[in-house]
Amino acid sequence: MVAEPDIRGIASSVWGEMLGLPLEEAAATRPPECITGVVQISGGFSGTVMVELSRPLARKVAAALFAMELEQVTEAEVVDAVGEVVNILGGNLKALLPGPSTLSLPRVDEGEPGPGPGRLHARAGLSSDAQALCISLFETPAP
Amino acid sequence: MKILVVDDSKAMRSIVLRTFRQAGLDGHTFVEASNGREALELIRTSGPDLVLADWNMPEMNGITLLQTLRAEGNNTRLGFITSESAAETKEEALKSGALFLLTKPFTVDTFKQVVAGHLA
Repeated sequence: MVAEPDIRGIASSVWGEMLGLPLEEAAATRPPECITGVVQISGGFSGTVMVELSRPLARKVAAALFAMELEQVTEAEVVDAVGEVVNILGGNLKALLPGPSTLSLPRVDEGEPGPGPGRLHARAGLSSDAQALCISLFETPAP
Repeated sequence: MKILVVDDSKAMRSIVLRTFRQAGLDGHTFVEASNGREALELIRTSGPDLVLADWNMPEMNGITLLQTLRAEGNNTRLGFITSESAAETKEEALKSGALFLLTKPFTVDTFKQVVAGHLA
């Protein structure tokens, strides 16, 4: 099953290979006001992958993905970028979990972090450019 | 070559186009679609030489796009660029006639290794 180092490893690849942004280990602190991206896994394992990041970091991620200046980034591009990041995290985590399973389309919301959809399975606290982010895998209890 | 890039994420389409430039794979014409249904229409009407498609998309996903093309007798070459990396996904892609399945995230070198051979 998935553990914290698996999440850190996949996040390192995304941040290093796709975004070109620094990524460091940090306490698993959920940003107080954050943008949240979620994607569901259904099948051999049922649960949710969630990435929570501050608005400034979400803008940096979008600027990196679109290769544009921070000031040029639109709200739609932030949503697109966070959705794509959680999609990639989810797809790679799904490959480590019991299958076969399917991945949903990503959803992106903004606000205070909620309790999380299900039982927390693993969580990694990270920091990029001094901005906290948190990646969690929740398991949906069997009905 | 005319290359159709299919992904519901505009960011990802922009990364694919940028990676072509970074890998020195120049001289191609690009067309974009944001889901499988849009791609299907473009393939039927404009006949790209190569399709690079995501797997999970709204309206029509990538594997349904490929299977629909093959069922119509359309053999347009198609490779997947997707976050899906499970063995059963790759197996289904190749069995359905995909050229390759490249998992995101990827480096410029990996992209070049996987894609360059299909650009002739």
